[in-house]
Amino acid sequence: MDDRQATALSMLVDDLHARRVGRRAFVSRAAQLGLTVPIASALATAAARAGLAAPAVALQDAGKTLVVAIPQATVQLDPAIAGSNGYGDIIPLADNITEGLTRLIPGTVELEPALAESWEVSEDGLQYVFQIRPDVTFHDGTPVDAAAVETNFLRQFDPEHPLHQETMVYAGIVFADVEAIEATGDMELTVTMTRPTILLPGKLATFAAGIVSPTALEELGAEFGQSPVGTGPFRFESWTQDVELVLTANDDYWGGRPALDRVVWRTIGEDTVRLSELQTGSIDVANQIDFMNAPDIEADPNLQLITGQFLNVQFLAFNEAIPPFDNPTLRQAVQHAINKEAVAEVVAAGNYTLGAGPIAPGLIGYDPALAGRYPYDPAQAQVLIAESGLTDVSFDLLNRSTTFWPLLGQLIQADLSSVGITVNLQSLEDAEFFNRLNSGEVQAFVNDWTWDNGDPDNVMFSLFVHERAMNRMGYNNEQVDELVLEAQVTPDAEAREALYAEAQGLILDDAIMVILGYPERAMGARAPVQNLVVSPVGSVVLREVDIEG
Amino acid sequence: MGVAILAVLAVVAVVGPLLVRDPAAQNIRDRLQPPNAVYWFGTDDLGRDIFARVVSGAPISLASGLASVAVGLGLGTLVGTVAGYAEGRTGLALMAGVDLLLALPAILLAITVAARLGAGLPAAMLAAGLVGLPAYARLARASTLAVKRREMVDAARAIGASDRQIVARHIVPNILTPLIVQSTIGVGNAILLVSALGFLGLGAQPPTPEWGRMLADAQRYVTSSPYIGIFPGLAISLTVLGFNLAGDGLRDALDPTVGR
Repeated sequence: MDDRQATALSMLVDDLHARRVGRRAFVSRAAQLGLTVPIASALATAAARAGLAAPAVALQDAGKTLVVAIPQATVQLDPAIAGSNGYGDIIPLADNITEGLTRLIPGTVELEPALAESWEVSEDGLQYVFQIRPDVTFHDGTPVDAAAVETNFLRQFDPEHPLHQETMVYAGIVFADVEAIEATGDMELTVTMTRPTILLPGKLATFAAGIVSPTALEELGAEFGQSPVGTGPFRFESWTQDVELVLTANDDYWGGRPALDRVVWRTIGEDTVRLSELQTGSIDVANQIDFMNAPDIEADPNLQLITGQFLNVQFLAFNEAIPPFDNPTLRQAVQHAINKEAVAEVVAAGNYTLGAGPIAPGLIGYDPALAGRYPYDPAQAQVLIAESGLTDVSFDLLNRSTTFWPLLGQLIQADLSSVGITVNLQSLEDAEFFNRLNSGEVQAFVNDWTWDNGDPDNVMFSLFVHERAMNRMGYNNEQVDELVLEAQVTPDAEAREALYAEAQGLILDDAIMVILGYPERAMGARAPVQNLVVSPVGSVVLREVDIEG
Repeated sequence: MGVAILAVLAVVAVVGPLLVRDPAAQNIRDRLQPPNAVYWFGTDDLGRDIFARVVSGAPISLASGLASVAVGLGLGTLVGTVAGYAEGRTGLALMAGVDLLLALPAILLAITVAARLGAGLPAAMLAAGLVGLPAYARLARASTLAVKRREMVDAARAIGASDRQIVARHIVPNILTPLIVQSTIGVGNAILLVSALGFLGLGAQPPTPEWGRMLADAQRYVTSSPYIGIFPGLAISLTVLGFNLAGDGLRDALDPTVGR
């Protein structure tokens, strides 16, 4: 390669880095300069990853860049709206770009102060007074004060607020039982409740309660989700949808500058592709590793497998509003027919706790003894089917079409076929799956719930009391409602546990869902990645993560 | 060669499913076993016998290929013959419709049709049939145009035969040869397309042991247990190869311009 070509190439690399040319165009133009396609392609990868200005400075330290692959697609990055799209939006945001007044200590369900330095609850439990952390600024320089937090909360809480949007679906969960939100001082925010629930500080750690810059909200309007401005350890740099989202370290982060200089988020839907990209070193972290592939990672000295507590429950839910599951004896029969050990094997290669009640291990109210309520017993299932008075039972079972869900559907289909029940499986894309669920016309479905915060109320209320229970399962048990609402205002842990025990007992009596179990979660990372832990609520928190060397 | 492969496949499809284990039976304890003396092709993620599933998939794939071609050949011949015989505006309009179908990418058209009709094997077969339709229609039209100018057609018309009689008795029998050759090759393509739809979740629904579906299920294990996907993949390749070779052979045998 002569000088002229070398200059042309460095300019081309510059263009690539500045995104004036795409990767494909880069490779083809580099090939015209005499590079072979594999070399051009490798150069494009290196330039994109390390942010090289030109090949001449290839050896210069370009900082620590962490490339993280997640299976879900990112749609927009406004935390208040993220809940309507899913983890593709939530993971890059939560505790990375944005933070709430509170947050979870990584890897645990313990709460700690974040943008609120402290808070106090009035004696009647109806008033929360938060002291906002001083000297914190948003990534755009706007200072964080009580007024900024008020704007953030009101735009979700008040449907009349000029910044309110219909898609802020988590407002009803985060701000349930809230009567008023008011900045009662420069750095003091008061939230008044209608009932003395103890859940508010935990709910404010939810991704949807992430605080963003009110200046940016005003300026960008509905476009805010394309270039979010928060207070987190990483600031938004650039985003090419379906390609990559780039964040850079926030030098002014109140908790100290993070060790990483840049984070690149990529969406790789296929489990096997995510794994092979990790093995070839194209990515540093692969979120959600299929346990089937765990041995491959453990055997590789360049990689590490990271596992940990994950708050997730998988279930087979019935709709008791429509036949055939309006018949309670049939619902109980199915409980006995499902082999949960096979589920554990197929879903997570055994890295799985068999189902008991709706509350997952690690939380107040988890009770392994509940697993004995419906032991695996196909003979008993057949007795109950006979008792139900139904013959030739057949129903449609919906499952999502990704990862292990179709297999789970087939397992249930085979288990039920052996007791004489015909299952017609329907594998659907996520959007269609949830549309159909919300129509209320689905006879049965398999799904899961990942906790948004570290409180058992998150599943007990959201699945069994929230209108979702009526919509999707035709479920409405007033006793369960009362117990769950009572637990919301019961500060004493033991008393809460007793309330949840009773509520779970009733839910199991109703047999409205088969609690299949609680999978663990694994991440794969290159060996030099440090301090990365599995988050119980499904997020990937990078503020303490480092790359060795 | 092609005929030999097809003969073996036909025997497997007819007799095989009676001899093997239940293709839907799950045996979690024996899951993910590589090929061995008990499970010749190994077991899949739910502990099902892959050999039994591949063998039981043969009649499904053969039937779906033949049914799709029947749809495409039937409708295509009808449209093509009418278009060729009528010519004029009717013919042009019909062929414009066919060209429109031809302009759509095959897999996209098939996905649209299958998704519209609801996932399932019948929908997949119909979709694959519609994708094949333009080829038969164009072939039928071209042949019809040639045949209708022959003297025998004039003769038939002279003795008072109706259009319908002329088409049915004189034209269709004389255009069948190229159509048969085309449909033999078409069966292979149709099987491939039905498998592709199965792979995308729009074809046969579980636990039906359809080859494309099996390939899709094997994706999760492509690194750890590749044999789950290899055998159904081989089955698809072999069947398509069989039909293509047979179609080539048939053409050579029937085409006077190809020397021996």
